[in-house]
Amino acid sequence: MPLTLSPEQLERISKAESFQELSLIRQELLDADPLRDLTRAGELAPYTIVVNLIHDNIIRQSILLSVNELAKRGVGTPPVPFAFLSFGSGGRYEQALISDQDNGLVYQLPDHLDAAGREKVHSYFHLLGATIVQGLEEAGYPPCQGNVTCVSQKWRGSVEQWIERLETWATHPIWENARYLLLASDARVLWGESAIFQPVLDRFRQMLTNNAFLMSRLVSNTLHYRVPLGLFGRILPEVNGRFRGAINLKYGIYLPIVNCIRHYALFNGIFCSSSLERLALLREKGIWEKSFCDDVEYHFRQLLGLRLVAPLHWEDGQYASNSYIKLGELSADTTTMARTAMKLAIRLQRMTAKLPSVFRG
Amino acid sequence: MEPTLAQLSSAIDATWVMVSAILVILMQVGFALLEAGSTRMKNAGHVAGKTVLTFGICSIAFWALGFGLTFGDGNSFLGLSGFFFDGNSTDSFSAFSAATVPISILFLFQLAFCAVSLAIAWGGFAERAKLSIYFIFSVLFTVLIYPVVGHWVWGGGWLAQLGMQDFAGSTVVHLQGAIVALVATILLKPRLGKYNRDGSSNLIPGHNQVYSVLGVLFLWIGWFGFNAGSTLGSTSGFFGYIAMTTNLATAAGAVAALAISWIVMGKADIPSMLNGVLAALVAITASCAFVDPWAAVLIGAVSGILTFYTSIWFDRIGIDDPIFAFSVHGVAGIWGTLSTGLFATPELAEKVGVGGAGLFYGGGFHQLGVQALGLAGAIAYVFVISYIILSVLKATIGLRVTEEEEVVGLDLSEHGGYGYPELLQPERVHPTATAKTSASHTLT
Repeated sequence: MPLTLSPEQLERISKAESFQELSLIRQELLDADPLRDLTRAGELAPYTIVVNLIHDNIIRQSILLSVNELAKRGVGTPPVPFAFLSFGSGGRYEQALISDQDNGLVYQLPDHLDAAGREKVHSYFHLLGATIVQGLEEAGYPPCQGNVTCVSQKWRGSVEQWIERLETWATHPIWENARYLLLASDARVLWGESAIFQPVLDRFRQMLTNNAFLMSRLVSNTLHYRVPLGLFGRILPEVNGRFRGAINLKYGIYLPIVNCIRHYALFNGIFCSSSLERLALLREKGIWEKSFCDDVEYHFRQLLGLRLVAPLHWEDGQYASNSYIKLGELSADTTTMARTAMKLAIRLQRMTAKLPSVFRG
Repeated sequence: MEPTLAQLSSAIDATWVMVSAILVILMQVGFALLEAGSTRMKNAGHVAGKTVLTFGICSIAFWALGFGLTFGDGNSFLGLSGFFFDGNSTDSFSAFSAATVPISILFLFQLAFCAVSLAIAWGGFAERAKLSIYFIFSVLFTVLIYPVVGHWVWGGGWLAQLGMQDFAGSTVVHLQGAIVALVATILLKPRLGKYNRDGSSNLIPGHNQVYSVLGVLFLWIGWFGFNAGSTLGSTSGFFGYIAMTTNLATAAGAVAALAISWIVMGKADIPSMLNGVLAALVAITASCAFVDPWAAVLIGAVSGILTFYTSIWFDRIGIDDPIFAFSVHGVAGIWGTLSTGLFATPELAEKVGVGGAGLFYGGGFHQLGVQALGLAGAIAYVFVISYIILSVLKATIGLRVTEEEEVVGLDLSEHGGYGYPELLQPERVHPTATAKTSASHTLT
C-alpha cells in the first residue's frame, strides 16, 4: 500500500532519536516507487494529504530533536514561547515528495526584558535556527536556494521584529520585498502556538486593507510566469535540453494558479495559508462563483497529484527535476486535464492582472 | 591628361569592389563575436582570437596556391596556374576576363570569401579542438578543399559550363564550410557534458547573447559586400537590386524564425532568431541576383523556419554543433542553391548571364536539375576530402584537447591565460602580506 501513515508509523517518527533516522523513515514513507504505474492524476490526488502529514510530522520531530540537541550542548531550553513557521508549499500544505526548506521562527519577547536579556534570547533562536536547518538538511530537506530558512536573520525574530520587517517591506515594495511579503502570506505555524504569530498576521491584514498600490506590486511580482500553452490550445513542451518533451508543471501551471488564488484571497481579506482553504472561502464569501471555484479546485487537486510523480520521470530524482513532467508518461485524460488547467491558469492570470484596477475602483 | 569615361567607370567599379572586399573581411568581426558569444566564457579568448590567426594563415595560403587553384586557368576540375600571385598579371586568369576591376582587388575580394568559408567550418570545431589543428587545417582547407568547388562553379569548371547559378556562394562558400563543420563535429564528438546517459541533451548556452547579436549584425552588414559586391562592378547599378533582395530575405528570416520559436516553444527565442537571420542570408546568397523581391521574402522566411527545426533535430540525433554551423550554413545553403532553380526569372538570368529560368518561371526542371547536380557534386567532394583529411589528423596528431584541458577551458590550456581574467582568476589580496606576495595571482 503506497504512502500511508499508520499510528505505528507515527510512533516511529515521534521516537526517532536522530536526523539520520528521520531521513531513513522519510525515504521509506515517501517512497515514490509504488506510484510508478499510476499515470492518471485522479488516482494520485488523494495521496497529497498523507504526503503532507508525513512531512509535517518529520519536520516537527526535527524541531524537537533540535531543541533537545541545544539542551544537551548546554545552551539551554527555549527561553520564551516560540513558533516554527512553514512558508512556500509547506505553508500551503502542498508539498511534493521531494521538498526543500522554506521556514522561519517567531518568538515572544516579554516586555520587561532588558537589552542583555533580549540579546540572549536572540542568540538562542539563532542557534536553534541553525540547528534546525542543519538537522532538516540531514533529514532530507535541502535549504531553499533563496535562503528562506530560519537561520537567516530575515526569517527569524521576535513578534515586534516581524511586524517591523513586514512594514518595511510593505513601505518599499520593490520586487524582492514584494516577494518576501508573498512568502510571508503563506506562513503556517507548524510548531508552537498559532497565537504568537497572530499579531503579525493582523498587522499584515491592516497593511493590505485599501492599499491598492501594494496590492498592484504583489500582483505584478507573479504574473511573469509563462503558461506553456500555444496557438489552438497546443501544449508546448521543452524542445531541447535536459527536459525535452516535458512541461514545467511547477512554474507553468501550478504556481500561476497558486498565485492567483492567493492574490484574490489577500485582496478580499482572506488570511489562511492553504490554496484549497482560500478557495473554499472565496466560494463561501461569493467572491467567485461556486461552479468556477469547483472547476479550479478539481484541477488544482489533480495538479497536486501530478506533482507527486514528477520526480519519477527523471533518473536523477533531484529537487530540480521535481518541476517537470514528461507528457509522454501521462494518460490521455490527464494530458487533457493539464491542458484545461493551463487554460484556467491563463484565465486566472488575466483576471488577476485586472484585480488592482478593480480594487482601486 | 583628363581621365576617359572608361577609366572613370573602371575606377568606380574598382572602388565598389574594394569596399565590398572590406565589408566581407568585416564579416570576420561578426564571426568572432557570434562564435565567442555562443560559447562559454572559459573559451572566449581562444574562440575569438583564433579568427585572427586563421585569417592570417588563410591569406598567405590563398595567395600562394588557393587563388591559382580556384581561378587560374587549368581544366574543368581545378585551376593549375597563377600560383604565388604577383598582384598584376591577368594572363593566367581568364575567369576574370570580363572584369574591369584591377585583379589585385579581385584577389582581396575572393580571399575574403575563402576566409568566410573557413570561419564557418570552425563552428564545428568549437570549444574542443587543439590549437595546432587550426594552424594545419587552415592551410589544407585553403589549398585542398575550397579551391576545387570554387573552380567548378566560378573558375570556369564543369558546373560553370553547365550554368549553375550560385551568385555569391551559397554552395561555394557556405555549404562547403558547413560540411567541413559537420564532419569535424562528428569526428570530434560532442563536448563534455552535452549529452546524458539516457541520450538526452543539455543546453550549453553561450556566455554573451549581446556579442552574438552584434556578431549577427556585423554579418548582416558585411553581407551587402558579399552579395552586392559579387556584381564585380557598380556602374550598371544592379548591385542595388541585389542589396535589396538580400535585405528582404534577411528580414523575413529574422521574423519567421522568431515567430516559429514562439509558436513551437512558447517563447520568443533570440538565438533562434539569430540563426534565422544567418540562414536567410545564406539562402539568398545564391539567388539574390536571380529572383523577384517576393521570392526573396519567401526564400528568407523558409530558411528561417527550416533552420529552426533542423537545429533541434541535429541536437536530438546526437550531433553537437555548438554554433549550429550545419543547420545555418549547410541546410540553408542547400535550400538557397535549390531556390534559384525554382524562382529564377528569365530576365534576371539573362541579365546575369548564368543559367536560365527556374521551375516556376517556365524554365522546367532544367535549372533545378543543374542546381541539384551541383549540390550533389559539392557535397560529395567536400564530405569525402574533409573526412579523409580530418581522419588522418585525428589518427596522427589528434583533433581534440584532453578532458582536463577541455574542462579548464581552451583559453588557459591553449594560450596560458583567460579571456576574462578578472572573473575567472580572481586576485587574492592578503591584508597582512607584503607588497610582493599580494601582487601574485592564485588560480582557483
